Amino acid sequence: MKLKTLTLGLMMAAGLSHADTYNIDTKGAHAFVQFKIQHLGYSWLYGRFDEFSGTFDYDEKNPAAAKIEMTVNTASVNSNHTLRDKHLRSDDFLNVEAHPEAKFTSTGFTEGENGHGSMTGDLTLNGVTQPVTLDVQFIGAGKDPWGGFRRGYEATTEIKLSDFKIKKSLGPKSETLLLTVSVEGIKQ
Amino acid sequence: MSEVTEKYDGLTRIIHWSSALLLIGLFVSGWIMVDLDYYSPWYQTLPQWHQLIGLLVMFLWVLKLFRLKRSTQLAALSSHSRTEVLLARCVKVLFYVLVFIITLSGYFFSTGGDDVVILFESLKLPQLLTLSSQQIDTMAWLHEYLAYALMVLAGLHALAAIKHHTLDRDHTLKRML
Repeated sequence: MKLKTLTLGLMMAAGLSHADTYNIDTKGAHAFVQFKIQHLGYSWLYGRFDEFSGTFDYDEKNPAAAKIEMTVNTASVNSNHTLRDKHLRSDDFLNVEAHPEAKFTSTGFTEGENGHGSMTGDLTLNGVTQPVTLDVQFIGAGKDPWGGFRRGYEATTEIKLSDFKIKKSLGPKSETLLLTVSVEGIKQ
Repeated sequence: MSEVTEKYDGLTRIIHWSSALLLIGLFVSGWIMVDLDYYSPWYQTLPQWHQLIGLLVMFLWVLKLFRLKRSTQLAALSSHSRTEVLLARCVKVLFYVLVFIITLSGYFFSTGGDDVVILFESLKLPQLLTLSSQQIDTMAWLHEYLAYALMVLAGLHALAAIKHHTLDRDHTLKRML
């Protein structure tokens, strides 16, 4: 009986306790939206998006309620090659004129061991929204030296370019892109 | 020399016809190269040829610009009407404006980023302007659409030459041959 009350009390506390909101630290550039895709099947080509923003909510007592929302400026794609980036911005790939933003909105989080877990959500890219599942690694959390509190994760997923109606295919080995989103949030 | 046998000097004619050939070549190569399959053997080389020939045209037209100052410019044929002379002058100015904007925008958008551009592993193109990605896209837009305009203008220019040759039966085209 006592245990039951305690459990109930904890559950209520969990329900009542509110999640902390973290702003993704883009100002200090402690966050990255990276991708890699194979070139001809012989090597990995790395690229990134330089401009994005977002926030996430996390409550240690109720990790399942964790959520994140991120917006990426698609025109900020950068693969260290001016003319390739110009091509990536064109309607052969990202079509940034028609779709200047890519967006991820989480729909659920399942926490496993040590804060790691799996996050589902809707990814909108090239104007197409598809459900994706991110493999989330919890990196760490705690006070920073300047009076704030930070929490960081790295999430990875694979996306098929054709699922997002990306027109150009660069060959059978280059149809799947590996996306890595690395974020450090500052508690608000 | 009588007006009927007078011709443009040799260098003028060479620059004129080589420009015509090179500009059409640039248009066609530009048209083809943006839609080349990634696995085409031309995918790496055609854009470099396009850039190299674009540079050549830029220098050729700087030379043309300097040669405009010469005192020995041929006068318009006396049989040409005032409207024809005015029209020809407008077309000429427009050719200069278009060719310079097209070649310069091409140069600027290919060299405007952070990476170094080297043609055929030997000719390094210096970065004259640092551009944002949006500016690069704007330059590329200008480059593409003004090239269409240039081809329309060249078409009209050619039709006018044919008209003078066949309908007016004057010496206009022959002066450039």
